Amino acid sequence: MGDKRLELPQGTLDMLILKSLELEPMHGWAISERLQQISGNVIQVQQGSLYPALHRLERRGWIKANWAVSENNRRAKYYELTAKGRKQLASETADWQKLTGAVDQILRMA
Amino acid sequence: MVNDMLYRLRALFRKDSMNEDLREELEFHIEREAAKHRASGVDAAEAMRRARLALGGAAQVEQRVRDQRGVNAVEGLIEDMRFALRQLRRSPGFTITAALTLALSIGATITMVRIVRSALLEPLPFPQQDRLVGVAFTQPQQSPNDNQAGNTASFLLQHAKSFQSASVYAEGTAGANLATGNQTSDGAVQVAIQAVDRNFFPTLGVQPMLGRNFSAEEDRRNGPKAIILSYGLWQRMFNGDTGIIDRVVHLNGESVAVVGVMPASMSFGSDDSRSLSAEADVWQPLALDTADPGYYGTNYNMLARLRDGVTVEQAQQEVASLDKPLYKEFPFLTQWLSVAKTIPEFKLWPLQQVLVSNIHSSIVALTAAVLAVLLVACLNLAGLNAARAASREREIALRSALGASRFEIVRLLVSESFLLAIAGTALGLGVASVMLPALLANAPMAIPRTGGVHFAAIFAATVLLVFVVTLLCGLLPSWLVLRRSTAANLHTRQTTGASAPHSRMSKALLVAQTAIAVLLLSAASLLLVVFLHLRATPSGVQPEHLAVAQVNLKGSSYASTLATTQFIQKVIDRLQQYPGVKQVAASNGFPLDRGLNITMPPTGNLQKSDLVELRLVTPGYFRAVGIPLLAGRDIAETDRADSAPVIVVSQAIAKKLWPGKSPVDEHVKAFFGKNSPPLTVIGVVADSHTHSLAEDPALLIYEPFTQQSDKSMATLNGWFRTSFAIRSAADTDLAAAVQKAIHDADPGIPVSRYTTMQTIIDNSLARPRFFSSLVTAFAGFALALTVIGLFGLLSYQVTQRTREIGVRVALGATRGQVLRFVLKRGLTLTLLGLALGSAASLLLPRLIHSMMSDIITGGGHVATGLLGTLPALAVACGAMLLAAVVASWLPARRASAIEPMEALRME
Repeated sequence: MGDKRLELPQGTLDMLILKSLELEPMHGWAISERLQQISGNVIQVQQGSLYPALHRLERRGWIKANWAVSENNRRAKYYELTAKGRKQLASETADWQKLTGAVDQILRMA
Repeated sequence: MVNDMLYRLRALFRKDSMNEDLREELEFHIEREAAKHRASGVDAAEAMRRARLALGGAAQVEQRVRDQRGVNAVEGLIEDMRFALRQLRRSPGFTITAALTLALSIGATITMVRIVRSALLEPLPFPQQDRLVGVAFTQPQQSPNDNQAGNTASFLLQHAKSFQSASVYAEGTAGANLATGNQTSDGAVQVAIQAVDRNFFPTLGVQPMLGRNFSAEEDRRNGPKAIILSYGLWQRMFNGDTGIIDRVVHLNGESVAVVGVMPASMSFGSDDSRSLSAEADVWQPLALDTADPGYYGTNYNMLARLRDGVTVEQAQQEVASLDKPLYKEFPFLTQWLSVAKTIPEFKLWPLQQVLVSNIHSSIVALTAAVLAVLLVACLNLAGLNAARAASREREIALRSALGASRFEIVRLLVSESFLLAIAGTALGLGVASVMLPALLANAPMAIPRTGGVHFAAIFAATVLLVFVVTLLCGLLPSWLVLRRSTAANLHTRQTTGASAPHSRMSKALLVAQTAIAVLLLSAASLLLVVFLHLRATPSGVQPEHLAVAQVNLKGSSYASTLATTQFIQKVIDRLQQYPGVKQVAASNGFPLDRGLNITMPPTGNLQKSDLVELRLVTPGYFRAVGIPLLAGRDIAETDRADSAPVIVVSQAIAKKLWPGKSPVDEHVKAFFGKNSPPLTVIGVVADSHTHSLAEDPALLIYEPFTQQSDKSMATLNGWFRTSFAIRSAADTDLAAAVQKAIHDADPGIPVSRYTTMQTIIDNSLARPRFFSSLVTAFAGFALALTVIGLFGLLSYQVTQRTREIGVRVALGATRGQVLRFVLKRGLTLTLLGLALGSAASLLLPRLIHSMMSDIITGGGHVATGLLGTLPALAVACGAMLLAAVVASWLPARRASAIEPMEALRME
């Protein structure tokens, strides 16, 4: 493991979880795998922080959980995006793009 | 937000299943992670290890997830509650004492809240009741009332501009005889009648349910006779007959037309003290007129509805501005000086305040007493808690060393008090449900039953109580614990006993509750002293074997002296033949009952403001009721209408008018009639009480019935009942004999009351008895609590200081010295409390005095000799000291019995 992995900036984990649930309901392990794969292993998701985040999102009503049978025939807890969660994702994404755009701009100018 | 709440609630109540789910979820995760590692060729055990490592410890993750649920504080609270419950179970003595103490005091508090709510704060059942005011011509310092003289009321009706409508009425009811048959006297029953003017019902906003209100003609002197029936009487006497309107009935032998029936709401609950007409069966027009006897006396009342947009303050200013023109028109009003040399003026209050003012101070006083008891109970618990907190210092220190925050520690300490407060309040609600009916049943004044149960108010009060009690009993001591450096305590061993601040705190609490208990005790002993004093006050009559029968001789048939005296003579003659009857006599106005009072034209030492009571009597009256004749002779059969007018005076008058000499054969001016010859004093009798035992004996003048003019006889008959005093050889029930004698004399006159003199005296003592016993009970309770508190504190201190005392004994302190040392501690605290409490009670005599006069006489003037503040205070302090000695004695005995070797071995 010679390549350097980046810690997620504070508060972006929630957005990334919501994003990965946008297409289909998933269970926790699948979410962590998905985040790692898509980011090309650049981002290191602390598996330990994933679950508190999931429960936090569930409490806020952005995602909801159901128990279902998984691909390996075990009971697993699947999370799916709620309507509220979709709205939240949209607004967070917009904010994020504004922010990163602005930071980018500054980095280039300076 | 809602989702958040639901989630948190689920987290609270379905905690176990949620934790189970979480565990399963994490297991699944590790399982999949391990499978991934196995797939890349790692052996099973290593794969498992890596998976666990990646997750970073399932237990920690579980904890972090649980933190996310946002119910940590609540869960901790529940944890604390469980702990507190265990603690309370461990000391059942403390718990039961505390819970019962709280239950009783909270029960009493809730009872008072309900009474205050229903008796003092409940709106009157009239439309827009907040626009109604009571208007009085009264002394400046008087409590809210609506008393008026005829002329002052008329003056207001003419000049006041603030009122949309105003009504003059008579507040009390008088007895009347109502017959429904065609014969004027057939089946007459005694009814209570109230005189109101034609604006009374419209001002209140109440419509008759049948018929109409009085017309202007009917409300005029010598106008057509009309009455309006109350709903209750209409049901009782006429079976709710709707054809009653315009029927002619006989009132006091006169034909009157029934013009209307009022709805039941007019007498809102006959037990409601605020009712304007609770007892009225019948209303008749007041027909206010300058020719009325009593027109210039304060014999009327006035209520008004404010004009739209006029506030009570503006109306008050307006009526106050009418004072000067009023004095100009009636200069004699400025002579109506009170004891304080003030003259009456126009004042107004919201009608509701006027109607509750008679019970207002009693209820306020009771509430204060109840709250004082509650405070004592709370201080008591706080003291016990402070002592217990001291023994928990190490536990607290340990908890804070293990990372408990200050908040968590306070929570832990308060949770016990909170549990106690909840338990006490729950029990208290039960206590209140027993207490309230009992109190209402025994109260000597009409406290309205709670109209509706004011659930919201009671609930709010209950919650507030729990909160306050918890705060007082729990937070106070625990705040103290926290002030101490918590870490230091880990190293201290509990050998030297309670630390200084604790014992300071416990002492302060004890002193405070002692002070309050003393205050309650002195109030109680004040009341008790007054009550015992009253009970010992001779009424001036001999109540043994003395029966009293009363009738109303009203209407045109009894408008003459001859008719009245003939009736009286017939009744006396018949009763005297009855076996067992020794003497019978009649009087207009009885001891401890209403009677005529007049301001005498000043003669000799009489002031303009001296009220003189006038009583008409038959010969032999003094012997019959047992008032001794001190000088001269009694009124005799020979004192007739055509002989010289005579009077008998009471000792009080004799002393005032003819000090140091015999008044017999002296003369006074006649009261009625300018040209009547002066009256000759023929005898002096001992003093007796007219209105209440609490007042000084009245200035009494007795005249023979036979020498009254027809006019004054008719007036007196219209105002007061004629009473027969019947003295018998033994206690025999003469009701039937009285009934028959009166019926034989005139079948149209029903007996309005038959009772015994003893009952009259007992009833006059009912209020002081009720209040003194109630407040004594409260004070006793507070005293018991204080004793418990003192005993607990001293016992605790002795236990804590066993070793120190052992050392002292080993070093040569005698048993007596140890005993004295502990006793002194207890008594020092008590004395401090005594000093504070006494100082407070000395600041209150005026308040207590005014309260007393209300409680005892319902607002009369209490004789000054009745209130011994100092003796009462001495009794209170004595009781407290005795209690303190008892409470300190046992711990002191235990301390003095400590064996030094035992004490040292305890370590």
